[in-house]
Amino acid sequence: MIVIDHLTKTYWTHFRRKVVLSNVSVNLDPRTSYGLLGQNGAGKSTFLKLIAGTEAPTSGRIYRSVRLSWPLGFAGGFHPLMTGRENVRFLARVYDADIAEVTEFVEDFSELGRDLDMPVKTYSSGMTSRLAFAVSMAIEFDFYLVDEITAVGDSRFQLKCARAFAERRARAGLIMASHSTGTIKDYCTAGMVLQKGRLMVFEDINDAIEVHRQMMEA
Amino acid sequence: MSRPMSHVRPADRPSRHAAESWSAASSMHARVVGAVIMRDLQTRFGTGYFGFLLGLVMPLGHLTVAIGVTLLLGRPAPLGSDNAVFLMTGVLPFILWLYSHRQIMLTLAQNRPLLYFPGVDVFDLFAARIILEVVTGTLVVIIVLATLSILGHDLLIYSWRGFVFALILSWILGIATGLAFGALGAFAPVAFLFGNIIGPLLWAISGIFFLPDSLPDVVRTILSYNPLCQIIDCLRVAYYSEYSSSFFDPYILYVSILVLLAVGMIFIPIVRKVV
Repeated sequence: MIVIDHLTKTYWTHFRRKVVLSNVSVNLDPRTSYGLLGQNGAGKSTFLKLIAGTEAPTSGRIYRSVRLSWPLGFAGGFHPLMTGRENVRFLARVYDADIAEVTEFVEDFSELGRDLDMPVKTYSSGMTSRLAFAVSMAIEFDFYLVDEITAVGDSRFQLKCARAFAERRARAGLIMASHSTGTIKDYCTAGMVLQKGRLMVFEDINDAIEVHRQMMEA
Repeated sequence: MSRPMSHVRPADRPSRHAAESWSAASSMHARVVGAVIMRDLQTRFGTGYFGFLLGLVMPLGHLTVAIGVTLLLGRPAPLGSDNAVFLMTGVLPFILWLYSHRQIMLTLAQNRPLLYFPGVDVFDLFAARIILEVVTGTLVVIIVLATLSILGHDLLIYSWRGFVFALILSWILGIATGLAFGALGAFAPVAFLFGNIIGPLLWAISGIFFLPDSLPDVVRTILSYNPLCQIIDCLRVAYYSEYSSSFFDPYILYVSILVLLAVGMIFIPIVRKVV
C-alpha cells in the first residue's frame, strides 16, 4: 500500500509560488492499475517522482510498504563508462535481486549480444532503450511507475515488451501518467485526475477520462 | 459516475521508506551504499578497477613534484636532515584532505541521476563516498610510507598516535569542506569553482614547503586561520621529536572543522528537498 497523507508540493518559479499538489490524501492499492491524467504542466511527472520518493514533498508524508520501480525504461541512471552488464549488476545489487538471474534475463530479453559488455556510451539510443526496458522487466516490483510509455525497438520487439509488461502487471500495481487517454484505457482500471493542485481518484477509469475530457474542453 | 475516493486513516500508514520496516529500510540503505561503492570503484579513474589502483599511486606524483621543486630551489630541509621526509609530512595530509574534499564535493554532481531510482537517497551517495575515502586514504598512507621506506629514507615517527590523529583530522577536514562545497554547489555551481581553486591555493600556503614558525608574525597570524596549515604543523609535531611549535592552535582547527561540517550537514537535507 502507498499512503499519501496531506501532501503538498510547491515550487518557486519566476518569483511566483506554483502549487503542484495541495493537501492531497489518498491510498493507492498495489493490486490496482491507476491512470494519471492532467493537462500539460499539471504536475503528473512531479507526482510520480513524489510517489517514488525521488523528490521530497513540501509538506505531508508518503508511506510505502511496497517495492516501487523507477520510471519504466528510465536510462538516465546508467553510467556511460560502465558496460551494460555492469550497470545491470549495479541495479540488481541495489534492489537485492539475484545478480545472475537478472543478468541472464537482460541478456536474453535485450538481444544486445556481445554489446552488453561494451560501455553504455557506445550504445545507440535504441540499444540504450532496449537495455533500460529489459532491466525494468528483470527486477520484480510491487508497483510500476510509468511516465508516458514509449515504444522500444521494432514492431517485433515492441510486442515482446508488451507481453513482458502484461505479465508483470498481472502480479503488480501500476501508476501510469499519460496524455493519451487511449493508452491509459488500455492499461488501467482506475484513474486519477490532477488539476490545479487537486487530485481526484476514480474507481473506474472511464469516469476519470470523462472528467479529464470535460476539463480539457472547459 | 463513481465518486472520487480519497481517505487516509492513521492505521493505514505503513513505513515511511520503500521497505516494509525500519530494519528493512536500513538494509536497503546498506545495499545501496555497497552498490554505489562498487560503482565508484569501477569508474573513479576511467573504467575498471585498474583505474582505482592507478589513483592510489597518484599521490606519489604529488610527492615527486614537491621533491623536484625543492631540489630545483636547492633548499635544505627546514626540519630534520631529509628533504623527502619533510615534504612527506606536508604532502600526505594535503593529499588526504584534497582527495576527500574533491571526491565528496563531486558526489552529487556525478551521481545525481541515481536519485531517480526509488530507495536511493542523498545520504547513501555521501555515505558511500565517505567510506570509500577511508579505505583509499588508508591505502595511500601505507603506499607513500612504504615507498619512502623502500627507497631508503628513515621513517622515525616520534608519536604514532599524534601522526595518525593528524591524518584523521585531514580526512575529516576533507569531508567537511567537501560536504560544504558539494551542498552549496547544488544551489550555486560557482561553489564548485571555488572548491577546485582552493586545492592549488592550499598547496602553496599550507606549509608543505615551509614551517609557519619561520614566517613573519603578520603572515603567521593569517596562516593560523588555515586549518590545513594547522594540521600539517600538528603532524610535524608528532613526527619530529625535536620540533615544538608555537603555531599550532587546536581551538582554531577544531572550530573550523566543526563549522564546515555543520554547514554541510545543514545544507544536505535542504539539497534533498530541492534536487
